[in-house]
Amino acid sequence: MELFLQTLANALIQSGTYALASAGLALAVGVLHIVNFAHGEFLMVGAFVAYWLSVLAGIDPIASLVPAGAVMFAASGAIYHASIRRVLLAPELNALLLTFGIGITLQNLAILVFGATPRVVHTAYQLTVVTLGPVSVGVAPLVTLVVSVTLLAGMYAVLYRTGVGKSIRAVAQNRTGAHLVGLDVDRIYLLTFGIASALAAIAGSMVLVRIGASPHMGFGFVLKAFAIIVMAGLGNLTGVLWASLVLATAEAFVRTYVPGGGGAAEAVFFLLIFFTLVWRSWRTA
Amino acid sequence: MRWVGPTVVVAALLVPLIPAGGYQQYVVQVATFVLINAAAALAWDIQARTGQLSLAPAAFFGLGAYAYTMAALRGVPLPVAFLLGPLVAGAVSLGLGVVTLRLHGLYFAIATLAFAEVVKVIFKELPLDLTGGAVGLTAPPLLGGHQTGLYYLGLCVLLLVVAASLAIRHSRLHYAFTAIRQGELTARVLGVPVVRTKLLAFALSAALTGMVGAYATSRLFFVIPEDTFGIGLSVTALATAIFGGVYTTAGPVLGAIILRSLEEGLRLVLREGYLAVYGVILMLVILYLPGGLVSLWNRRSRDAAGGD
Amino acid sequence: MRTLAVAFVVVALLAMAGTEGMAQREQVRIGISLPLTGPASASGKAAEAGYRLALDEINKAGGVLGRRLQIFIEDDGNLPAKAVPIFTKFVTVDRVHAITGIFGSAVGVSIVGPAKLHEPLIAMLGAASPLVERGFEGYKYLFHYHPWAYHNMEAVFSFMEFVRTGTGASTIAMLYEDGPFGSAGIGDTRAELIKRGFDVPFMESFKSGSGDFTALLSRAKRHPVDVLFWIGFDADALPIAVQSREVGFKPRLIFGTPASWPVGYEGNPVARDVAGMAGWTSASPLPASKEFVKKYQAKYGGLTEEYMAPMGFVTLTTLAAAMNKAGTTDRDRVAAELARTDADTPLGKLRFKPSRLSPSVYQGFDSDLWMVFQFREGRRVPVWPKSMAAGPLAWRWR
Repeated sequence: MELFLQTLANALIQSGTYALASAGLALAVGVLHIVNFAHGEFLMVGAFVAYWLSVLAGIDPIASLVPAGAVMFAASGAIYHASIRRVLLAPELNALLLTFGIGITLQNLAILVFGATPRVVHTAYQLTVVTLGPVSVGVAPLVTLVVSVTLLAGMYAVLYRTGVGKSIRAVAQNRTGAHLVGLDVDRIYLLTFGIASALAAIAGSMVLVRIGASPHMGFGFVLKAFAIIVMAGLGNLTGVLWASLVLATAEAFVRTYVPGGGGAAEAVFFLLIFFTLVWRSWRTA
Repeated sequence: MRWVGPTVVVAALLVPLIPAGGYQQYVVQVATFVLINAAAALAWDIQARTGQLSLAPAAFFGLGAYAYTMAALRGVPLPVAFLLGPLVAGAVSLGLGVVTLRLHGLYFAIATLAFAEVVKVIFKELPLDLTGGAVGLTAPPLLGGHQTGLYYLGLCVLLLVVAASLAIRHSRLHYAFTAIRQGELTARVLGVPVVRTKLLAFALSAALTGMVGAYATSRLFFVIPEDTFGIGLSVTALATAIFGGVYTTAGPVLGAIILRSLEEGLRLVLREGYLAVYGVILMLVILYLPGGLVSLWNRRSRDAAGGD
Repeated sequence: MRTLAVAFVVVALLAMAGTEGMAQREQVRIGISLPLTGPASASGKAAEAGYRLALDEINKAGGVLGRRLQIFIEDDGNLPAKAVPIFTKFVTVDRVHAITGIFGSAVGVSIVGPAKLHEPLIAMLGAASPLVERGFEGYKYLFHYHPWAYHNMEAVFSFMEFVRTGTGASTIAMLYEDGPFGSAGIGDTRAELIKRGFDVPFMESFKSGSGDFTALLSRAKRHPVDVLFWIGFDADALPIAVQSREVGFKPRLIFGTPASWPVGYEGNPVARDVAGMAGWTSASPLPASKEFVKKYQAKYGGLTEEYMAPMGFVTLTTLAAAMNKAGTTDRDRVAAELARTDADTPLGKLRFKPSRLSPSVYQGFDSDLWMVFQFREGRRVPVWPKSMAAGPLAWRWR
């Protein structure tokens, strides 16, 4: 029973990381229809910003959420302006190749400047553990969970309860129509892409505490993030939370209870996604 | 434009004979990898023409590679083992194709990606004496490892893929593919046998990719789940195709030639950080040549969806 | 358009001829293939530093055969697809007299084919997989400096027995990354530990870099584990240490064998008393090592803990020495001299013997290369073997 509860706790905690890492992508892909292959590298940028702030100025990574997000927001604005804006009207494939190129460039610049070795930071709460009966979880991942839920809820609130959100949704639904009713489509894209990228960076600074920062870290996250947002359904932001939870739970239980499950958990993750997608496609016949 | 194709083929035939002095073998090596990239990219493109953007090429490449290796290690004559590659890949793809018929766009892409990842893990976890597990297997080389012979074999593989691509292009299948890509519902209404066509594209693309996988193994002598089924393969194939120009025959091939040569050239010149430059070039090309490299030639038809 | 194509081909060929220039016939040339990009680049760059340091020393002492030694360092990214053309280029274009480098096992296997075609002299710096050893069976010109995977495991077994002797520890939990590095012979490793009287109730694989170990570690908690033994990469070091604490898993010793550790790990309290295996540390008391460290500091202005740096240094130094002693670049004579190497290197005594699985291959370092250290007070303190120990084994977690 103890193990069962601990596994549930582990799953919940891990889902927080997954959801946070996927939130920005959900926005970029689901709302902007930009297949952002560089999402993982944006996450990496956030992790490095937080790393250097911690090492050089002693700023805690949790406090670095804001600067990391801000840096990426600004950087993405420049990236958007210089490149993404021009492929929005081109076939979707072009955005794919473009963001792929951006990702490669960012990753290799990071390697050039920082070297390939991962870097870790020390935080006061890195080893602090919260115990509730038989279950114990770390404070850092718990905070990640809280942050991700808050941000996703916040994103939902902005999109569905504010004027800006309505404009964003309008552009997502029909770019031409939105333009026709007088919305500044370009500015809205810029803003939304900025938020999506900032979210990735925020995820990065949280990941730094528990795993570390390395130029190669983005790849693993972007793969799973794509899978999660697609499983949640494109455009379905709250779906990201439950998709993350379902997948993290499956992984945790397979790893904990199935002998040899360590290796199988990856397969289970993707099998779940595969079956969900296929099942849904046949159901809406 | 009609002279381009034959010229390139003749040039390709002559590559091992280029009087590049000491560079000859090196050039042949690089050229062989260009052939592999080109064939994989073109095979991916064939399926992409029906609007199915697959991220499973790695899975079929790997299945082809493993089918060849496992058969060859069990004493199956090498040519037969080689043919097993496309057979296995094609067969599996039919199953996958049927199951994913109703998926489109990013959903389809992620489903194929999930499939590829699952296949990778399966091969990692299978018993060691069956598939070598995570450590992999060494594969016996075709043609005894003869470099130039292997180059020509690779050229044959590429030409086969090119032939498939051209055959489709110059048949009614081209219209069927394009119709499905531009609107499946409309295509169905127009009488296009959508299911059959999509499955055909899937199986053909997968079988060809499987053949490339079987061939590539003779270059690397080694299959291992992490790399052979690695998503890098899929991403390279589609990036190459887009870079060169999708929905064309010349595009993926040209893309492979340019990209691979670029990478080698950059690496020789810039020993470090060359990949960053590579990334920038990818970006620049797609920004200024939305139709890919081939659009440089098709000044008339700027429409990227037009095809060659 | 046609002129553009021709121009492109010309430019490409020129670029390839480029900076290295057509090989100058007088000099001795050695080709070095290393991962300078990609996940293995930390090791590759360390090796490069060692090679370049050796080059300086060699040329300062008069070079090879009276002329300056010339090296060609190429980045293979630890990928067979890059390594094979590089190997071919070394042999056919640069016409090198020997090839060294080769860090990863996949690369090692992939060059078997081209090697057998041209039969160059190879001084292999890395590669631990037996697949490489068997691949080169019958090859007469391979000098394999790095220990094979079974040597690494032998060192682990000896260390475990040392731990048991000192502390009575007997239960080991094993975590290994699911790629070739972690999985190679893992079943045999466990069987051997059990044969030596250890209890291994838990052995699981994980995906390196995924950063999520809570589920596996929670399961490990169910057993009275003395030693958590993990085989993975630098990216896994922090999560394993941190998440063990998170789920309340408290082995008496965490012992990991990644090839390198993350930057900043030493100074992190999380790392306290975590044990690692290294081929070398900069604090090694060996005279040859102190010399090496001094020279390294003079050239690069800092220290390194990567054992690939002295490994690269040793490889090139011994290769050049053998060529000088042989008085020629003739493969057979150089091989004969190299085989007679009996040197005191920064990594310990180097003597070649026939490799266990492929006797024609010359094997250099073996399990004696390895030492175990613990992170303490921001440093790596060797604790095993006794001859290298600078402190006692800390046995503290509980």
